[in-house]
Formats: sequence, structure tokens, C-alpha cells
Amino acid sequence: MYLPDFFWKYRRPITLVLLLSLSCLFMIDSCHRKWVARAGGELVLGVVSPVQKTSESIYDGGRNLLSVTPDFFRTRAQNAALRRRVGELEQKVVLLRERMLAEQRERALLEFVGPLEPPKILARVIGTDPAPWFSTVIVDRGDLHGVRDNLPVLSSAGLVGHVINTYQYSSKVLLLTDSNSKISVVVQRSRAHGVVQGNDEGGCVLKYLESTADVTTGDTLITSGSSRIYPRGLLVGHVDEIKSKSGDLFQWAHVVPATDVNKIEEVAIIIIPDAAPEVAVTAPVDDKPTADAAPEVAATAPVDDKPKP
Amino acid sequence: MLVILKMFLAGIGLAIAESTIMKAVAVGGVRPDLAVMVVVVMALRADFFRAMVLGFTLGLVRDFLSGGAVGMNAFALTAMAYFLSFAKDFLMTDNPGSQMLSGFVGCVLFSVFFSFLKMFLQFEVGSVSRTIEMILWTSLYTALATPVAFVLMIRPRFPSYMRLKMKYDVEHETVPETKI
Repeated sequence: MYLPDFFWKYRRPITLVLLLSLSCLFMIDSCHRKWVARAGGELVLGVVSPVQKTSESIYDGGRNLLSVTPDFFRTRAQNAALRRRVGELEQKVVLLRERMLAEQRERALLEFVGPLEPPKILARVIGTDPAPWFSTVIVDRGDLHGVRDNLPVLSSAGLVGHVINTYQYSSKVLLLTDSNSKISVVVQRSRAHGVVQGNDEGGCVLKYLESTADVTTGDTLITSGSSRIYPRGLLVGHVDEIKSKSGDLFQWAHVVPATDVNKIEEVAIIIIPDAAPEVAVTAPVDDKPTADAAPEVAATAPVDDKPKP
Repeated sequence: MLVILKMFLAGIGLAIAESTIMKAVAVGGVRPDLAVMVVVVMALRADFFRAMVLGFTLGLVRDFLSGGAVGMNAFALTAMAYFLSFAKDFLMTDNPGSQMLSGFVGCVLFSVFFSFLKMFLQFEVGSVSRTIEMILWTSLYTALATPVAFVLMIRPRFPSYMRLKMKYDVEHETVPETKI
């Protein structure tokens, strides 16, 4: 058989093997963090981000427009209730501010002066994961804005996840509801330790909780601070249902995340002061890209915190 | 080369649609797999080479936007296109039932390949029951939506028996004589 005839006869399996081999090479490259994943991501997200941003705005606008009419009366009632609530909270804020100032003075006295509020980068969610197999979102802030891998991401309600990939103008955030996300937490009331892992269904599971640990439904979970990704005290969620059997070493519980990950629109990426350089820590949080600070931030980023794929 | 570029651009368009618009048609968190639908249509209507290259490029674009390793979607979609292109000879692709069946089979194949890749690359897979449940619901939804993809991507045609009848009518048409 001539060689061209051979290729023609077996063209299907040959094409399949070639394409699958190429895919495997990409996978190997991606697991070892080499250039293809990075360059491809830059190329695709460079094209996709602006379009995605626009389409997301149009989609949100349309959805808001449709939801305005039925929501009008409900909103009016809510508005009155919220105004009352704001009044109460304002009083509490004043009280807390007083306490915070007092604490700052005490810290200054003890020479533990440092920023109580870590600097944040505000970002907008411009896209979700196209495949149902992973729970990630894409935000419109990247390397040039000072974002780097493994930074925690918050919404106004609580923890959202952490950055897993950064590109020039966008970043990929792994949500806490993804099963690849594991967060060391502490039960705020009883100080019992555990690990919150996503369950891929929009919720989380609290694992490795000692069988004697004091946990009840409704308990608040906050980050323990023992991981290098999440600082201490970030709100993760609330315990929904506890599952324990007598004789088991650990008990576990369903957790409702504080943030509804299906509805996040704006997030704040926290620059961890310990790992960030001086420039990034003291820089004001604004929308402009801080091109000068980016290389320094990337240079000091810890590389061993990367979640295992 | 131009074909690949076209497919790459189509992939970008699809990925944008998947990550933004498809949220609107999600039912209980389940949404149809747009990339699978497109590859199924191509595998059943176009030649195998186009279908496989389309699967590869669509998967690659999806990989760059998704959370996993680059190449996972490309691998699974290419393999799915390869196996589904064999079904072309046995299915009446005009029939919506066949289209749904091929959409279901394609989505199940893709999901199985993808799950194995996830396990192989040591990603968290979650519970088996949950994975099977997700595969089934997504495949069912994709199957229901596949005829729509056929209509949108391929010019609608009359069923084959009607086409034959029309052809016969045209060939045996009698033209009345005109008097001059």
C-alpha cells in the first residue's frame, strides 16, 4: 500500500490521534503552568472580555427592565422597612466606630500599627464558566490592576472565592462552591475548626469537624486564618444542617454560603498586606490600572499556595 | 487555515453566549450544553474532519474561559465528534427524534470523557450520584434543545419522502401547450 493511500484510508483515526495528542500536550502544559495556557488565555480573554462586558451589561439591563414592574410594590414596602433598619444600623455604626478608634489607639500604644482594612481592588463580574463542570467567574481586573493569583475575593455579603488565574485585563476566580475549593474555617460561636468545601450545587459542606465539636444550625462560619490565601475573620456562610453519626470520627454539615454565587455582580479583591509590597499596600483603591505596581506584586506572589488541580 | 480561524471565532462567540445568555435558559441550575449541540450538528451533517476540528477549537476556547486545565474540553469534544460521526450513516438526521437521540448520546459521551479526565488530572469530581445526576439532566436538556440547533444551523428541509414526491412531480410536470 502506498503511503498516501494509507493516510487516506486511516484519515479518521489519524486526525483523531493528532487532535487528542495536541489536547494532551495542552493539558500537560496547563498542569505545569507553561506558556500555552497563559498565551491562549490572554488571546481569548483579550477578545472576549470587552464583548463579554458589553453583552453582560445588555443582559443585566434587559433583566432589570423586565423585573422592574412586578418588583415595584414590593420594593416600596421594602424601602420603608430598610429605612427603619438603616436608622438602627447607623446608630450601631457610630458605636462601632468609637470602639474601632479606641482599638486603634490601643494598638498604636502597643506599637502594632497597621492598616485595619486591607486595600481592595474593586472588580466587576463579566462572565461565568461556560461549562457546568467548574464554578468560576471572570472579573474585569487583571495583572495590570495589581491582581495576582491566590488573592481572596469578597462580595458585599461575604467570601466569594479566590483568584486562580490572572491575565492582563481580567482574572479567573474559583468560587467557594466549587469542589476544588477548600477553606479552613472556624465556627464563630464555639471556635470549633473545620474545612468548608464546595459541593458543585451552589452550596458547601463543612468537613473534618470533630465529633465532639459544638455546632448548631445557624452558626456562623468565618475563615480561620490558618491558610495563606484567606485572612482571618472573613464571613464564609452559615451552618444549615448537621450530619453526625455516633461512632464517627468527624461530623459534617451543610453550609449555605453568605454570598449567593449565582447573583454576584461586583466583587472586591483583597490585597493581603503580608504578601503585598509597600506600593500595593499604600496605593489608593481606584479603577485605574497600576502598571508600575504590577510586576512587583507578581514577583512577590507566593507560588506554593496554588490549589492542586 | 481560514476554516480553523472561522471555527475559532465561532468558538469565541459560542463561549460568550454560553457564559452570559445561557444563564437565562437555565432550569434549576441545569443548562443545555451549547458546544455539544453545535458539534453534534456538525458531526451529523458535515464531514468528519470539520466536526473534529470544530470540536477541538470550541473545546479549546472553552478551556481558556473555564476553570480546569486547558485541553480537557478540547479532548472530550473531539473524541465525542469522532464517535458521533459514525452515527451519521445509521441515523435519519432530518428526524427530530434522531436529532434528540444524537444530542443525548453526544452529551453523555462528552460528560463521561470529561469526568474521566477530571479524575485523571486529580480534580475534585464530587459524589458519583451527583455527577450522574448532572450528566443525565444536562444531557436531557441538551437533547431537547438539539433540534433547535439543527434548525438554526442547517437550512430546514422537507422530510425525505416529500422531497422525493416533489422531485417526481417536477420531473413529470406536464406543460400545457400554448396556441400561437
